[in-house]
Amino acid sequence: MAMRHKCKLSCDLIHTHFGELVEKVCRCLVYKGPLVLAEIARYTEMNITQLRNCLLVLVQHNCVQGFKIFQEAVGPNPPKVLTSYLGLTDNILHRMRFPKFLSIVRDELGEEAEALLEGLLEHGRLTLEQVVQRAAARAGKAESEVELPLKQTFAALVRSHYIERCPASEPTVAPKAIEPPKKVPRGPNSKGRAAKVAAIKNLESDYDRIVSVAAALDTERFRMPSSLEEVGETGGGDVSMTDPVVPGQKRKRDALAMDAKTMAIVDEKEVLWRANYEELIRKLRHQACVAQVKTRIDAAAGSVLAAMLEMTRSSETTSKPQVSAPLSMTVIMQAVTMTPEGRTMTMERIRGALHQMAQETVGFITRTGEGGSSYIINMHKIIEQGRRNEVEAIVLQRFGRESCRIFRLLMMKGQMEQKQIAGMAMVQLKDARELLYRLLKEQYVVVQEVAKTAEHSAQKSIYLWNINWDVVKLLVLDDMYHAAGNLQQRLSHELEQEQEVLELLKQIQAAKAAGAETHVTLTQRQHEQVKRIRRVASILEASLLKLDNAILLFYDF
Amino acid sequence: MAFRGGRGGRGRGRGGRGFPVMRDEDGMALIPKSRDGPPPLFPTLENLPPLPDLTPKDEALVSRRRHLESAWNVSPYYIEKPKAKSVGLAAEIERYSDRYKLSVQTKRPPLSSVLKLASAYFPAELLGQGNQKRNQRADGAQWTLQTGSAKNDLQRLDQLASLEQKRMKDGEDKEDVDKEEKKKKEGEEGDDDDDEEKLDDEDEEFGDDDYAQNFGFDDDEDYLDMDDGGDDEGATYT
Repeated sequence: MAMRHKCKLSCDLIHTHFGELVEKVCRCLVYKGPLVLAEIARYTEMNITQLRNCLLVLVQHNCVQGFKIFQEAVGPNPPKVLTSYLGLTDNILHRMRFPKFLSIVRDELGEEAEALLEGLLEHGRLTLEQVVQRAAARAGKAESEVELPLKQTFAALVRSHYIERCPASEPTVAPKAIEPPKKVPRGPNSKGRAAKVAAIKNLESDYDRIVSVAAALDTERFRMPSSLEEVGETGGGDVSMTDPVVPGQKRKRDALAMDAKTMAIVDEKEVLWRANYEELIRKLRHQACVAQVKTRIDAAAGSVLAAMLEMTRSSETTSKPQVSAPLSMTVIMQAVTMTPEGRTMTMERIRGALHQMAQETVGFITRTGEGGSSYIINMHKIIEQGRRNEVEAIVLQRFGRESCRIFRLLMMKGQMEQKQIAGMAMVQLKDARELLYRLLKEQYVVVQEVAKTAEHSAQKSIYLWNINWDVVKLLVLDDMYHAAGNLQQRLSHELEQEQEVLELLKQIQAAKAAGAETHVTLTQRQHEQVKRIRRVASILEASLLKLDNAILLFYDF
Repeated sequence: MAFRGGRGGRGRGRGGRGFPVMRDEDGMALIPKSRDGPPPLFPTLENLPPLPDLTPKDEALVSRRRHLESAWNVSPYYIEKPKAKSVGLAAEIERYSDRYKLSVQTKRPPLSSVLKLASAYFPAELLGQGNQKRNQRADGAQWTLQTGSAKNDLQRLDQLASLEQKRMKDGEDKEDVDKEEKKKKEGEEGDDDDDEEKLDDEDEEFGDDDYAQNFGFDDDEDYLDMDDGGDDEGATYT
């Protein structure tokens, strides 16, 4: 179930960005899993040139990954190598977040970096040469003028891992493990749900495997192009690899220098770069953690945590780390005093903030090391807390105050009977019963029968109510994808409704741009319509971006 | 899909019969009173949240989003469905609306001008016959498609909102010249596609050469035979 609405949303996004034909291909891949070119042609019934173009566009924008599988000999047919294509729904959904990525880079590295990243996001993948060309064309200057500052910005982006080299176009994946997607069992009860969760996990592991095979090692991904190694600040760049120049023989050195030159040219013209979604999402995750801590404790603790996260960012190896690397007290102090907010904080203040965060009930940080001098950030706890808050807010909004109380009670206490729930939540028994069954209908709670006798007679059994947190998270995530899909559809619907007025607007502006006189003007009513659609479109888009924060919290963080 | 929705829906938002049955603390089943008829399909929502206020941060994010979307709609990555009206009877009728419709279709540069079609980046079978020329524009006009008159609806609204608008006049003059050149190139590519489609039609109708030669050929040998046949068929019943 979590897959259906997600797939629908990703197809909607591709439709708005790239048109109907590309969306057809994308839908085929996303709903049916990895497919070979011939199969895609059969399902979509498109002609082969169009299909190729659509796939080229999708690969260019990192929405599809090709990979080779080795098919064993079947009967008289010889063994062959087939290229299969996998739709990367995660990357497609990241397209919703591009504005947020741009604002992160702008805040951290400045406007030129933002413009550079925008180019990469717009075109999917670009070589360094193309980046320079684009910047020159946009600024209206010659390439040589923009080249040097641009390369500095580029180097800064690579150093902070916001840009990476593109993965291989057709890595080979071992065929044995690829099974056809398991039939997802259906059923309204929670048992069926657990089986569904397991089936989803199975599918995900195939996807993860293919993606990880395609991705190169970190050292390779962030290897600076050789022409940029001397450009930009030195020091702190553990990612730049220098060419091994053997000292001594002049001829050999010349030959190697030639190689270095050709390598530099190759690097500029042939190596494709793309935005590194992982790092950008990591930055968003850190921001979310800091926001959570700020609301839960106070602003000072927030800035301390921000400094700590900044320090440990480079040591995070996986995309969703549970805990960070340990940091000693002195390092934390140093880091905090470097930030603008933390400069005025005294040592005592910092110590107090750390102590607050490390308390048992809160558990955002734990002390480790000898004598408890180092601290580890428990990111998963912070994120879990955020998720709980979100779900409680949803229950409050949908079902009311009493339901929210009951929900929180069950989260804290675990299994309880109806009477106990009613007593502890201070709700009338009748109401408690109603609310519990409403929650059960929406599958936020589950009920378990504990039979006293062998006949399982209803009068002699105890019914225990509980919350299955994993299932609730999946359910809420699915609802959010559904909501985001609805928002997208509503936005396109509203724009379609007002198509006439917008066409008029297009004509007026085209005429103005060409400098010609126009006889087309808008009536009062059309003015009103334009004002209304402007407001509606802004609200819908802003709501979509805000909802996306919640989706990130539940899925990507 | 409908089936799954139906089953899921029955568990969710419908009336209280069937699973799960409400039970009180003694285990007695409580069946709620049955309503008259089905519950409303779209029940009225009581507590609708208030409309959100947009902060400047939100506005900035929204404008970035619109900028990107309009760039994609104008770029060569947006693959148009070949219009059914480009061949056949509908194309021959000139319509009044065509005069005033501003279409972006013919102004798109081909994909090969932005994509590097080499086997290092794309799976080999997608590259086709490999004789697609790279029509890289020397002045880099493919990077500046968006600046100019072709914009997204929402971006147009943005412009209307802000009174001072920077017009890149230089960019536009260049664009006009480039658009003509691009149109020619795009026209070539469009013609190729049209030719392919037309050829298919012709093949279906006429088949191989020998038969095609005799198609419509009528020698008068069967003149008398046909009359007899006609008499037979048109036999009157008396």
